[in-house]
Amino acid sequence: MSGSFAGWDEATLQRAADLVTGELTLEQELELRSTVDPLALEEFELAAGELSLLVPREDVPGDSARRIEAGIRLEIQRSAARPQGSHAAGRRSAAARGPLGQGAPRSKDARPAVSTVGLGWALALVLLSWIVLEPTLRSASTTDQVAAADALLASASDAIRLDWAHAGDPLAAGATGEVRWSNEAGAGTMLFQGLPVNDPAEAQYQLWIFDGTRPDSSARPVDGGVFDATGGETRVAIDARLPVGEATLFAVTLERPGGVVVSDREHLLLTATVD
Amino acid sequence: MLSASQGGPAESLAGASIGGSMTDTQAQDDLLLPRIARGDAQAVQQCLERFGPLVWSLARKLMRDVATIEDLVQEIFIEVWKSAGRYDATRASEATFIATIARRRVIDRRRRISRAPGEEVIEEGMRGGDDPGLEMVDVRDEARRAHEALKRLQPERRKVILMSVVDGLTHQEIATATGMPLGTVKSHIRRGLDEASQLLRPRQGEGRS
Repeated sequence: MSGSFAGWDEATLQRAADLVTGELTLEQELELRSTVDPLALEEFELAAGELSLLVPREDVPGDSARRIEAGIRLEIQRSAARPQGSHAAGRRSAAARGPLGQGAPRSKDARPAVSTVGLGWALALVLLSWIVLEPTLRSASTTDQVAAADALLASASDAIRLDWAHAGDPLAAGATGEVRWSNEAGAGTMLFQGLPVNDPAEAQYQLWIFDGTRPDSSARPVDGGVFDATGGETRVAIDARLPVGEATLFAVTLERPGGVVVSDREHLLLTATVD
Repeated sequence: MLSASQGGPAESLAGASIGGSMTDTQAQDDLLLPRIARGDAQAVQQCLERFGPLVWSLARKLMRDVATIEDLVQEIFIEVWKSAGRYDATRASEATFIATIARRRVIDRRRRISRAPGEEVIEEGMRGGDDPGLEMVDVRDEARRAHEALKRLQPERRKVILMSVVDGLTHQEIATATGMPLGTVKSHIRRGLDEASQLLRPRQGEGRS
């Protein structure tokens, strides 16, 4: 990929400008990230970041500075205290093992300048926290669960099929597949080809379903369950924790074992948008 | 990508960029993020000291409540700590890297809260004058390239970019404050960011740190 936004049309340029100035909804942002060159978008975001350096500076009040520092140190200590094999530990040793915990290499050629959820290759600059309403730990879907979901989809009148789109994270660069879903049945399945095998003791994939009928759906997607990639082709039944009135977007992230309540979307891998 | 020639700034952008590498104001051995990535606790402290005012000031553009600002600033620096290992000095200065993370978090927080009723909007007069806007920006070394890039923009476009990117106003707020149609505001932001981004890109063949 060239990493240049010079070839963008006016509409894409406007969307990118809207992104870096905070005018896009989350769904719009995810759609943009899945359609444009992540390096080019990163370059655009970095330009806005550099322009931000012109902000007149204010000193941090002393008490605030102490509280902020204390909070950061506490978080660092908590991360250090997590058991080896946790996702956090796997993340710190990414250089050696990769976030999947299976020694999956990162693409050095496409290393982003900035990395948090959503930026550049890793989409790691999408610094959004999603609040799952009622998460629980669940095991990966079984063949029976997939079969049951297929049966529900077959009898539903509103079943849809969507192709996965890359969200920019190099971990899923080679992944393809589809998601099938029915609002009526409240059931669905996911198919992946080329999704890297994960070590469930280190990290698991988690599905998020954005429900257009929920207020503030952008910040509170429905947890669609955690699952593991078994290599080659992976089929998973969707396990929506809550009823979904109208699915508008599906997203797959990589999280710690068992999933999370609040995703920092450090690894936002795949999305599928309902037209 | 640039529109048909409008004279002046648009034409001058062809093949041009702002001089200086992203890290020419910061010696390689002075970089904090690689040290943070290696677990250097002192580097974390130094990062807070060096970039705290920048992050605080960006957060303050959106929030009024000190507790919320503290929470947001903490969130930003934790993200910086987590991301330090992926910092690439050939693509951005540390200040730009951190400011970009901060912008993301601020935008995200704005999505989750609504603007308080009666939140004041910067009066257009604050960015009036013959050279609207630049007299009120911070022009320390790390912002020199950005300052130079903005100077090359048409005055009206420069003002809108400052109100948006630096002051944190929404497009509608800018339209209200300036009296410009919303579409004109969006056009200025689109073209202004495109021009500035072209100027701030690293030059081909420029030495990498």
